[in-house]
Amino acid sequence: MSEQNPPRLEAVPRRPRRSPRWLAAFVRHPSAIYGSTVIVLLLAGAALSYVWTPYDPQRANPYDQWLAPSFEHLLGTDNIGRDIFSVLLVGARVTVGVAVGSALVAAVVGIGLAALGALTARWLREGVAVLVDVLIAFPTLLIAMMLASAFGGSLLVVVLAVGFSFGVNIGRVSRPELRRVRRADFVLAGRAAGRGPVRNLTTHLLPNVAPVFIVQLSWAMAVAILAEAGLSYLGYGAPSNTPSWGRMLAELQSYIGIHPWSVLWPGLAITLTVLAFNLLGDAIRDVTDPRLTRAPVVTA
Amino acid sequence: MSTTPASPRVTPGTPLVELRGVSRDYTLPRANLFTRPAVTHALAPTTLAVQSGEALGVIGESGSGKSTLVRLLTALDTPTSGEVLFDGQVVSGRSDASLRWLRREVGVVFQDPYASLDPRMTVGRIVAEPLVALGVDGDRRGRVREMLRLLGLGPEFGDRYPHELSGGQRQRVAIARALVHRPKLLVGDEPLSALDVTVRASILDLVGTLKQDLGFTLVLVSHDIGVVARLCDRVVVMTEGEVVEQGATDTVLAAPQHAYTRRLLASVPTLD
Repeated sequence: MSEQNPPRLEAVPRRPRRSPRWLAAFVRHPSAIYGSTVIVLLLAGAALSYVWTPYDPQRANPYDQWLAPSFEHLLGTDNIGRDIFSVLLVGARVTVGVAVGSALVAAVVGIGLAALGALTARWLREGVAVLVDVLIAFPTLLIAMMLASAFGGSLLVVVLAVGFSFGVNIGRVSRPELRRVRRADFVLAGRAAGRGPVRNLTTHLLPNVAPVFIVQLSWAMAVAILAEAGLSYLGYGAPSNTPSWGRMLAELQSYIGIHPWSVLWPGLAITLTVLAFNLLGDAIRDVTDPRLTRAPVVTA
Repeated sequence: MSTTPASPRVTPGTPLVELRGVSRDYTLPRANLFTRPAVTHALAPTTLAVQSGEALGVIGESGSGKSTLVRLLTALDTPTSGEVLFDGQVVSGRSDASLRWLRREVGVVFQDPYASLDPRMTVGRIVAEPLVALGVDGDRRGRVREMLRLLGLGPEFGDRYPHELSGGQRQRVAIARALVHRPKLLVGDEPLSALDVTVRASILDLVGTLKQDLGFTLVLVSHDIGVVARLCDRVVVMTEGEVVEQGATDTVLAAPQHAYTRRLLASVPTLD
């Protein structure tokens, strides 16, 4: 560093802007590739099921029970002769709906509780912290059962129960992080630089706590898919005429000893999708952090 | 309210910053439901004036209320009692929105250069922040580059992130941010204590040079008498939230009046 002459200033190229740094890192991140591929396939499958499925997913055909996978029935047929691939495609709608719906509810509840618990006057935030500790004691299943006994089992019950209980979790986990960042010197420095409260929140606070929410919400989606399977299995979720992966698993598992093939498919679909949401969340956290995507430049 | 029409913006005689009986108490959370919350007195009622153009050093060990003083001085915190005046105008207890003019006049350098730079922003954006936040027009990029150059950082630093810099480079960035909008007052809250000795000396000299070139008033808070002696004309000695002695640097260091100051001086390892 020994530039004294002012002309050197002008000699600097205006701005060598490459494509966004996070995008470059995203396409090189294995978890991101896997996660986004699976989720795109899931969305495509759910969308496709509205216009086309190989067979009618609701039509029972007693002559075609327990067929092995073949070209006619890609993944075989189930106990009443339905085409498993067709049922899986239609079931993806429920999976997508529950995952997105629960994540939305969880985001509203979680971010709201975290913000109330971290950014407000002391009496309010301490009160919210206690409230969160109380709410966290209610298991998802209990909330779902309470809602189902009042309103009957439906997918909305699943979405609300999972979204609420996970939102409380998010509120609890991200509150300290929000408190830590709020008290960080760079937030104070933003104020000293003349940022108003709102701009300071959006420029310094949000980008630095967003990773926690991203990871938590991707996890919420994964948990929602599992919870839908579990709750539908117990009869609190999807009604019996709505195909869902959880319901398939519930119906087919009693035959696992005789026809293990058929249970494999919904199980595999759930596993791969849950994994995809988890890995995608991690990948987004990684690529948006400059400390992880850029190795330190060694300077003398 | 000067009667002479040709008076400069700062009325002669009016201190640039003035603390009038300013104190700050912190209420700690209750230890349990049935006890009163404990209160710590971070700063006893203090009256202090910073004259325009001077370099004032505030010395005291950690916990002596120095950082509290900095926050009150820069209207980043509200005093429990008393008022803070900048250029003759009361700034304490005012909302952030009504203090934008003050932010334009003041630059702050915080103690820890690892914590005071947003890890998700490039150096260019960090240094430009006061210009953006205060809506300063003109060639912002050029001003940022010029400021970085004054602090001995090449233009290539603009695209780097804080984690890619050494401690000394980070603190140079923090100083650049505090000075980019050409404030009248620079306040440093232990700006050198996180750095090692050689880096400290070079940044210290740099701040001295910049003060001459840019002509700002300097308030430097430090526990290090050497730092204060090198840069400041006047010192204030603090202990346990109270100012115990103040005066010209030479006088105070040569003939300390208060027992604490004497103890502080005696504890300094001499280099010469």
